[in-house]
Amino acid sequence: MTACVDDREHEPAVIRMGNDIARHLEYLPPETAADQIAAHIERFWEPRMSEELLVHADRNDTTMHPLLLAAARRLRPPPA
Amino acid sequence: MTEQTASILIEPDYGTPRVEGEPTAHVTIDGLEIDVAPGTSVMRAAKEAGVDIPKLCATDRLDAFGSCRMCLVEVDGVRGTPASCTTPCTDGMVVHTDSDDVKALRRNVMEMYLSDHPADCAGCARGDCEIQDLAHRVGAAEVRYGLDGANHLHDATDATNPYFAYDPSACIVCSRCVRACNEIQGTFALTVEGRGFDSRITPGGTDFMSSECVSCGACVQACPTSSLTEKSVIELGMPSRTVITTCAYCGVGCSFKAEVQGSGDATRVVRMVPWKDGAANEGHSCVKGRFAYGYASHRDRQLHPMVRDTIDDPWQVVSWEEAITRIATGFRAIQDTYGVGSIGGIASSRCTDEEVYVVQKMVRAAFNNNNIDTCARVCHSPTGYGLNQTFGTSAGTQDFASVDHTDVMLLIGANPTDAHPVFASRMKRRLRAGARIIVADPRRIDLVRSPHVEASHHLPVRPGTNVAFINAMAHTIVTEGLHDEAFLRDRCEDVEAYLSFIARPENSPEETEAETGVPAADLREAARLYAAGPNSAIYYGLGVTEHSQGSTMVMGLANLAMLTGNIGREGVGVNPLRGQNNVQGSCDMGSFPHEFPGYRHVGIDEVRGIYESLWGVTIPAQPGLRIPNMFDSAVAGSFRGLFVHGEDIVQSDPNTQHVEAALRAMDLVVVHDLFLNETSRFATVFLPGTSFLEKDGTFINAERRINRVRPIMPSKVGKDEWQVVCEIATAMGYPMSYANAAEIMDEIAATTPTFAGVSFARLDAEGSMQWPVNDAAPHGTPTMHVEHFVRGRGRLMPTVYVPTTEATTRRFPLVLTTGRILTQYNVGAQTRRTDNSRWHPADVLEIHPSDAELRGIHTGDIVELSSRVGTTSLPALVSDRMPPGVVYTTFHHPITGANVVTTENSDWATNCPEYKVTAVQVRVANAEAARAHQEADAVTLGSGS
Repeated sequence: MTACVDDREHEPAVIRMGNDIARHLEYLPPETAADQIAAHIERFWEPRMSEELLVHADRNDTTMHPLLLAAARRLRPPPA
Repeated sequence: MTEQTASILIEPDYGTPRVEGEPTAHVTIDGLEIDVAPGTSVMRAAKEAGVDIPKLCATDRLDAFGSCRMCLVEVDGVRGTPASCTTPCTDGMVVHTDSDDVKALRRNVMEMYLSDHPADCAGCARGDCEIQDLAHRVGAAEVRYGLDGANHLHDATDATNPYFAYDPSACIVCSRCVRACNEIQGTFALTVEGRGFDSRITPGGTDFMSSECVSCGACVQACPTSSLTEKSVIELGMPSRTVITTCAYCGVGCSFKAEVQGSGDATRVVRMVPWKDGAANEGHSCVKGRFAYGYASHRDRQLHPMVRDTIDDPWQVVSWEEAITRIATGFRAIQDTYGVGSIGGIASSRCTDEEVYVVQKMVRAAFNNNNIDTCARVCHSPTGYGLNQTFGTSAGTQDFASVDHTDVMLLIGANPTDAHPVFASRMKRRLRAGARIIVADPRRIDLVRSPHVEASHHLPVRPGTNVAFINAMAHTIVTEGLHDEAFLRDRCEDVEAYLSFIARPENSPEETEAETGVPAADLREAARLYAAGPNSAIYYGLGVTEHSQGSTMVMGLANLAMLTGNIGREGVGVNPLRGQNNVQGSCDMGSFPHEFPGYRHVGIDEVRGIYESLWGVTIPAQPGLRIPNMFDSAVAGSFRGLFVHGEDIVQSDPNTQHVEAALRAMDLVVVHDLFLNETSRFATVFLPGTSFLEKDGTFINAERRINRVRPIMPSKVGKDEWQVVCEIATAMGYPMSYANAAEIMDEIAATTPTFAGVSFARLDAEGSMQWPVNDAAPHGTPTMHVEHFVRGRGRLMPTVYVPTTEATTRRFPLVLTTGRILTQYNVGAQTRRTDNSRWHPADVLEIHPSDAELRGIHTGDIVELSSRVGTTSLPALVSDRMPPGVVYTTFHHPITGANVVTTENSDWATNCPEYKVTAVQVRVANAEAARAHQEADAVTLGSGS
């Protein structure tokens, strides 16, 4: 058994996961989609993951789905 | 009911099955009067009245056959002496079972049996052959014909099956075994060959091991003599007492009579016999539950705690105290350095509800975070999400018995004859009675075509395209006006938006055909059949959930059921076939990082307050890490300690390289299990676990049935697993203790509304109950969503098809999908340590003949299986069960490491891995790889694992 590597595997997990959510909700109107992506992340993601996503969003990471970027802006600041 | 006896529990046998109906037939039997449902046999009516008519070929689990002539009776006004098993009661009937003429006839018949029965029958001596007892009862003290006439006393025994022997010299050819195989199991492997004196039972003209027999044990259980006997009984003798408990294999959750000898540490299991009163299995079993329990006493079993300083050091046996201190100290040190959220735990779907509950409590109260997840993450987490969104709760809607009222089954992404065999037998019974089945699966599984079963439609849905398929089904129903408008109006919400979405042309069968591979005409016919019902039920498995759109697909199934009004009564519904014995229970017990027991989000203040108040701690209001998030965080350096309870994540989770890298990056991995496994290679503390034979608690099966698990013997490791978990929490500074497992269930009931009426005492009294169990449903809830959905109105969800990113390419042109086989179970930790491996010693790669020919592959060749993340090798099996372009394997053997090639792709909503879709290439392995595989295989087999 041997292993090899692939780009997608090395994509930051929060972006890979966030983009997957965005792709599945992009059928919605953009504002609604962004709201629902943000709500999903708040409901199911551990806060440090949301924080990491916000870091990528703050950098306008081009690998992020536009709806994920919009959702990131809706995420509450993590509690101090 | 009786749950534990000081002696063997003998279940009454009424001779013929119960007949439903009002007791309007008044019958007099030997002067006793009884009212029964018309059609009830005289034999059964007599038994119910307290008259036990002698019998050999009759048993109440099989239709009457009337061959043994032992049950003859006289009926006033009827000529001759009819067989009581085949004679139905009619109103006013007067029956005599004990007249002199009848007694003389029985004596004569018995003499004939004795003339061809071994005088030294071992079964008669042991007490598991009915001939001798019955001979005494009917007064056949001699054989006037002599014992030296033509007989079968020297026929050779067939001992090829590892678990039971067939001794034809004791066989009376009553056909109970043949009928059990046909009527109960539905395999039709046995037959009577020859005529008259030459007639013999045979497994299709060959020996048992080479036959179609699936070793379910139904024939052994049915045999009235010792002709078919468990080898364990032959070796150990008869058991002396019974304990009723629950199987620890699949999600069917069969009830068993553990028949044992001895007591205390000297307890020895003689056999496991399926319990007739078990509501999930009604006296049936499969080869795993019936026979494959030997792992519990296998020499590989670890019985002592062990520690080591690094994963390269040898293990050192230590005391429980030292091991627990090391865990507590280690976890606290990690938290002191890296923060409260730097450690977590994984609960097991193989463990009891009570064990899972204390593990999640330890994480939430002692670790003080929500980093608790369960192996259900990698199987049915999309079921939780999808059914919660649409129906309002995370569970199947029916009991298993519901299928007896089903007219049309839609089976998708499940292979019940291998993975849920006892329920599959139930499905097959219903199909033989006239129900129809639609099978949606890329493989031609047994339920597509097997003896007396033929699917109305086999729709070979290409892996990864389920959502397009289910949308096309719904599109057909809506656009052809086959939907249930009244149900949608009265019971559902978001109806118009859904109808508008699903009617779009892109969802039509014709538009989706190229994607799904399902011919549009076939799909339309199947959709019409499902819509016509009138009772249509959906059964599904991991072929639905383990996709990047798994949650969407579960919602698509729920939509289909609501669209056609197939929810809220017997015979219909949406039914996930759960993989492991307690997947349902482990999810119910709050082992997801975002939910407390009863599927209540951690962010709900009122719910969190219940636990904070009871446990005296503050619990974070935000979710914790899921299993894949734990791995990602470990590789990133922020997650450093993990408690793994009863799971082998290295073998079972996807992308093995990533899992291993994560575990290697941690400071402390604790494995609590029966055996050292692939995961324990990365642990520095190993805690020995208890087998199901030692556990006291409950399992919850796929139909939400809470079943008792009772200890057959004391813990072999000196502690219960829940006790060990409590001691770890206590050593970490959070005191946790219970007097017994019943007390844990009491806490679950006190804090979880759906379990409010559950206690061990109630379960012992009722046998089992299906949650919700509360004031509104004090005896449980067989069918959910009857008047209204748990969430009020059912919610129709738009299910847009989003293709997986795991696309085939020129480099990886085939799609790999994974599954299970009958004789092995999950990662094989249990079944590989039993004789079940004689049927399946290695994982194989099934490949279509055209794909094989293109690559020069023949059955038996060692092939190299590569994906973008890894490569492994395994033997090939060329099979036209596969469609072209799709290959298939199981993941039961660590040597294969099928998950070396599966990827990080996962369900968008839950992160359930996309095991069912991996783009791969297959080629004949070069000589070096083939040799390496064979050498590794020899080592594995030689180790006895």
